[in-house]
Amino acid sequence: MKEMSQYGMGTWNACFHCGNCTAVCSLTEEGILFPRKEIRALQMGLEDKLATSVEPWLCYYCGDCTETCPRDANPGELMMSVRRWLTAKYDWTGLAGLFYKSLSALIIAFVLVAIGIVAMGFVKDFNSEAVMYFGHILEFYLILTVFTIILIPNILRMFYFTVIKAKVNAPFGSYIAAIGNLITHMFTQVKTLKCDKQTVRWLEHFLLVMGYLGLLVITVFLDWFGTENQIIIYMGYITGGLVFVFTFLLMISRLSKARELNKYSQPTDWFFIIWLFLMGFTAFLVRLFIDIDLLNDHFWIYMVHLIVVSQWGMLLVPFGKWTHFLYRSFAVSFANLKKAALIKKLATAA
Amino acid sequence: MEEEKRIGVYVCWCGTNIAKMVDVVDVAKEIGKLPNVVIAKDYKYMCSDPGQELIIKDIKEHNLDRVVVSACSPRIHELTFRKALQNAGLNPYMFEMANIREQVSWVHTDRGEATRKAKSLVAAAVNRITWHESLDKRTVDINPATMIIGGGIAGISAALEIGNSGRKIFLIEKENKLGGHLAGVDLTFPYMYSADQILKPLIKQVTNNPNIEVFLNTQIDEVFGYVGNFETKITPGDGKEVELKFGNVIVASGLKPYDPGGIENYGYGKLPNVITSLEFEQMLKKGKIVTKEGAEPKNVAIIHCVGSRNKDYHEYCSRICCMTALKFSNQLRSALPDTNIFECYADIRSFGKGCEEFYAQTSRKDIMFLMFDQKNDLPRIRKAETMDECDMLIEFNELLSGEDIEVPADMVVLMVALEAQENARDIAHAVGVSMCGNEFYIERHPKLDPVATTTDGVYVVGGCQSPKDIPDSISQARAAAARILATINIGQVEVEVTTAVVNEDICCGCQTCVNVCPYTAISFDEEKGVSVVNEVLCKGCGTCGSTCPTGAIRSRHFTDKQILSQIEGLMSTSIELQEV
Amino acid sequence: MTGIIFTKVDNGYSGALDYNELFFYAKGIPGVGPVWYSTDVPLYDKQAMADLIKEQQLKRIVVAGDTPGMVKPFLTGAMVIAGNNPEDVVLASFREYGATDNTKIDRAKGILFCIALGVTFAEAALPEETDVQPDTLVIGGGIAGIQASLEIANGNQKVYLVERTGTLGGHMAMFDKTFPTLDCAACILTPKMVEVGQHPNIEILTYSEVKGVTGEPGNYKVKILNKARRVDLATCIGCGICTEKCPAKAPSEFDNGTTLRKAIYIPFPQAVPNKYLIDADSCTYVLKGKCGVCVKVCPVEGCIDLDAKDQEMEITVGNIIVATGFKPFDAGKIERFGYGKYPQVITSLELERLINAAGPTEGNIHFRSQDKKGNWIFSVESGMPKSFAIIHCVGSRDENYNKYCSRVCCMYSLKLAHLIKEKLEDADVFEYYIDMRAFGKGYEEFYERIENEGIHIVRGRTAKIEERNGRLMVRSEDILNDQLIEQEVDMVVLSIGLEPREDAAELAEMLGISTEEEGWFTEANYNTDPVNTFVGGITIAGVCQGPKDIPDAVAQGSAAAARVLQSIVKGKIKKSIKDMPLEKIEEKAKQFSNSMEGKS
Repeated sequence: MKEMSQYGMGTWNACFHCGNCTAVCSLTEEGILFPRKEIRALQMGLEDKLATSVEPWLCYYCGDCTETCPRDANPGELMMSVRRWLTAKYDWTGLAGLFYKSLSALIIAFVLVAIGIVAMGFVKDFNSEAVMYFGHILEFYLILTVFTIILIPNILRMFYFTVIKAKVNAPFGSYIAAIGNLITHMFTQVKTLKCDKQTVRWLEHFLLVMGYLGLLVITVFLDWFGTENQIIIYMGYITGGLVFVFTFLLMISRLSKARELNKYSQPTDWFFIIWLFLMGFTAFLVRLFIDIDLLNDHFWIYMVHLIVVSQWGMLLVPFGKWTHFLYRSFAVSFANLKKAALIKKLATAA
Repeated sequence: MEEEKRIGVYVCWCGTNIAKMVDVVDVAKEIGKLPNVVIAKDYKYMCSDPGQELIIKDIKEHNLDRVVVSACSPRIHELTFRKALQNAGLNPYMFEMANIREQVSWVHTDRGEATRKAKSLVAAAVNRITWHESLDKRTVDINPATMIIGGGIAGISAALEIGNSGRKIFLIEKENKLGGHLAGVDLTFPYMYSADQILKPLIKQVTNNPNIEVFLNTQIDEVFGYVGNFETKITPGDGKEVELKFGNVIVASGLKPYDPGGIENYGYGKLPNVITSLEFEQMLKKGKIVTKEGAEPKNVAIIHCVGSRNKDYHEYCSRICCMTALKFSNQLRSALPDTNIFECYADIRSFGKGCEEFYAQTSRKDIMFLMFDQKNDLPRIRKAETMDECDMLIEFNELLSGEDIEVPADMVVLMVALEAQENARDIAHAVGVSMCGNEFYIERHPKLDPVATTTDGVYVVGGCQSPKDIPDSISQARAAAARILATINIGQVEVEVTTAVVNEDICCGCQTCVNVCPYTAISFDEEKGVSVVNEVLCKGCGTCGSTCPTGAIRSRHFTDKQILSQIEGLMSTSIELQEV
Repeated sequence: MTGIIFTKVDNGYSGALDYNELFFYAKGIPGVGPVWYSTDVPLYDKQAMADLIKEQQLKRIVVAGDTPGMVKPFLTGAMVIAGNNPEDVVLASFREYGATDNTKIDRAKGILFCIALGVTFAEAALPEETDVQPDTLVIGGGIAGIQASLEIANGNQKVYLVERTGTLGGHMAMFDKTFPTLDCAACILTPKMVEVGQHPNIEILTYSEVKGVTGEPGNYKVKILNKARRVDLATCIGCGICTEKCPAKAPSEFDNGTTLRKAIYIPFPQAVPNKYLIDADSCTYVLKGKCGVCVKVCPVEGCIDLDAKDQEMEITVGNIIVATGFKPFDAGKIERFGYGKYPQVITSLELERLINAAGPTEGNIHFRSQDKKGNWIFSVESGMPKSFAIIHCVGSRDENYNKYCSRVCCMYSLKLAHLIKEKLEDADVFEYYIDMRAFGKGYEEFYERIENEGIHIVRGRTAKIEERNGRLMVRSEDILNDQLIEQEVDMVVLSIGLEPREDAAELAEMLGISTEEEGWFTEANYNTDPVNTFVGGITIAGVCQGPKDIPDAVAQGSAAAARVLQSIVKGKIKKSIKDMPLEKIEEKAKQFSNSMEGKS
């Protein structure tokens, strides 16, 4: 309980187990019950039960449970905190946990990355072409390394915890089906639509994800900053614009705290959203400066962009909130395995 | 018996309540044909003022000497109409009611049958009333003193309430000091007031009040007399016999804690660090919460419902343990800030004012609430191994998580049930109150008369009639005080007139009636060799009359003749009407 | 030496007690040494606290605050370690004697002063006595008010019983059966009502409200508004022809809107007084200036006066008993339950009327349906539901609505489940609860009995109700069986909680008594004085002091009467604690303290 309070805040021990949160949630179904059971596991210190649960990833934090909780115990925030905790749990390097718990560690890491990039620029004598070439290569290899060294092992760890350790005994066919809905969910997260009153939020989120992925492809694989192709350039502007406009909107809503779910924000959430905004914004500016021939006089803007991208790629993607994107999508598949296992169990029992 | 009887019959519509299912006009018409019936009418609401006026006017105009009203249950309006008769100058017992609402219109669906049944009932009433006799009201003087049994918070409150008005109180306590269980309590829930600071000033008020005479170390053996005029002999601690005379009795003898030794699962008496809630209160009062080994416990478990809500022990809920347990958690959190606290419960019953809020507050203090199956699967406590780093382990299936768990504990507090006092039966016998299966005293009416008993002048308040917290006990104590103050203020009380009488010429002196009387109202006159009824004690229940082998005992207003003719009326008319 | 520790709770409430002022006041109390805030002393380290006690040579500690008892166990422990007597940690609880806001700071000072000197506040602040007028006013004609009136009247004293509606009876009259004995509410209540109606010592003022109270304990002048009933109580013969012919209809208050009544009506057949009245809000004549059918058909000339006006009267009384009861929680506030949206979601009070033989459906449970004019009512013409869900704690035990437990809902819900089964043997009944609070005499046994009647009792609060397949879907977690339940039923019954009446605050101000945060009237002392207030001659009884079941409300009704009778028997009444000046309390406390020292 004390450890969890470092991942988020809530008065979870005030819960008197009426079951309102589970029943009010539009995403719960037979066999997939949350968040009350997660609160119970937490209250009783059943760490294994929490670590092997896939349910936290199925919650999209619509805030219904927290809004209607008769004890102000804030179950929605608990699910969020458990997701952070799980991110740390899955991460074999242990860095995710460190960054969640210690703000200073995170800041130090950010500063180190920035120093590294500046140092590299210094080595290359701030020659714009050399630096931009290096930057492009860096982005490319960064993605590759982060995926192979950190994210894929972490996903495997997640599979180990939630399926193998949890002793989910699902039929083989269901694994194949699970891969199918993995793809759909990764890009659309359509499940959010099941939540009440969530259409607008889903659309915001969907456009942001599309913008982000588009920007990624366009800068890294289509070499936005180097290309002459007009279509690619315009696509870049659109995707970059999407990213910073929607992150800007998100920031405003977080600041006004109008929505229940935005009541408590952890520092890492802020980093995530600000960096996403900066990434879109600086990319947009870099290309703009190229197009109006200002980049050579204002090369610092690219340096800033590169620092932001590197911090994003080295720290926030592997150890921060970005991972939710992956874990959530896999969780939907693992949950389907769980359901298939339940059906199988009932069938054998019958 | 040869004199002429003049009976008036009134059939009530009760709006549509009766009229819809019973043809009231037809009933009145048919009944009007019966012998002795001078007048038979129907009316919309007999109980309304104009309805009553109608009866009064008819009595005067038609010189009626008996009235039958067929309407609702006599429990509702018998008194109303008796008063109307009185106003018209008739004896109130020259009245009979036939219930054609609850017994006819509300329970029948066929109008024809309902009307036939109504006619039978009214005819029966007419037959019966022919044999009614005038009975006179009687009153007795009230001795203004009151005896209170039990010097706990309920007894003390009642004593002060009456004593402060300047009337005499005899306060009887079996222990050597006043205060009862509250004296052993540290703080009260839910506002954590000091029990000492509440109780001590009240005891001081009692001892300083010249109207209140306290008898410590005293038991009650037998109380003689009846409402307004009771007497008893007591032998207080000093051994000198005292004779007391008083007009009313309040029983506030309280409860005793359940002995958990009988529940094998909990090992009370075998495991030294399993203690009762009362023992824990003592620790709190003394400011030292330590195990038998003298160390501060690192893990404390509080088990609810010990001896309550389980068929093997007591089926009832003891009402105060949940809140006391929550209070303990708060006290523990204050006294031992780092101790792990476990509340093992079945349902949290925090129903009083400020209590649910207290529960909400408590649950925010890092206290682990664990639920067990109180009815079928009690937790088991066993000694722990050295490697467990605690003294005991409590094993059960936790219902909110579904897990089988083991709770570590260095101290276990058993929230013991409250049960009737050992001498509950003796007191009941002495003052003439009845007991339910749990040996709690039975009130006259569970809802509308919660402190009086079926014996006039005897009241039961507080825990002795079922477990209660402090404010509820005090409310009851004062409720009894109100009744007594009212009777004292009037100085007299009316007593039942429908009592039994013995025809001494026929009585054979077998004493069967003496043995069966539930109100000890019949005694045996050795000299004359006959039974004698104390009319003040007699409730007119009729038990004696029905057991008397010679028919020497007669119940006024329920004579054999009256009852038999009522039955005759019921049978004959129903046959007659069916033939039609 | 005595030390004082203040435990301050900062609840952000602007009118809260000024602790700084109390802090400086405390320093000036004779015999008091150090004065601290709890934050200034080591409240988490018992040994350090004990050392501090020894160092300051404290023999006695006064803990002062709203609920200072919360830290007493810690300090008792520290005192024992310091070698002192555990009994010498004493509490100065401001809440205990009602010093809950800064307008009562003098009372808080008085409490501090007394406790510091080892004197009980109630003793030092014992008000003087004064003469008492023999008559009593009882406000509220529900069961608590009825009981209080009868107790006093049976003691041969005059009682004025003021009731806002047209009849006595209150909420109890609306109930069908009462738990746990299942005796019919009307059968046990109406005899009491009739007794009140015919009692020579009770003057009933129905359709009346208390408008103003002046004077002092023992001698209050009370202004009472007699609202225009428009039917003369003395001459009305209760024939009912007027109701039959009246063209205007409105929802029946007594039947909780389950059916319609006429504009001229009698609340229910056993009403006391059993006389008609005209509801100005629905009467065509009052609203439009023409109709007057009732006047034409009334067989008694001059009985109905459609132009009658409200009247005021003034009475003088020595004591006032407040027994104004409650208002049911408005279920429409919880949108997720769809009350007001789904016609077959009904309240427990509506079901009480449906089940009652004298109710709109003659005791049978029918669906809610629309009549020809579009009013939603219950009529015997619509069908009967076959499955029911009863939902506990509606509006209670919920930080979003009322935090408190309403005390009666668990038991009445079990009772309703039983009554449904009694009417419809094959019906499926589901109960959704959080904690089953069957605490009274015979209650647990009743719960056991209901469980064995084939009623499905589920631990799990219902979160929402939705329409599905033309029925109602009730969504809950069955916690004890680890399941999610989406139960489809025909009818949902919401067990609504109890709330203070809207006009409670107004009445409290008129009488000078205090209320709790949520609006219930505050008693003089939670433990020892459950029916008195801080104002002499004013007592409170029944649910207006906090939710209660019938026997507890009745006991309080009688208890309130006890204090009135005590004053009448004695001929003297105590003035108000709230009017005691601080100097006087201090002076008395010193006297008591000196006399105690003299003895020892």
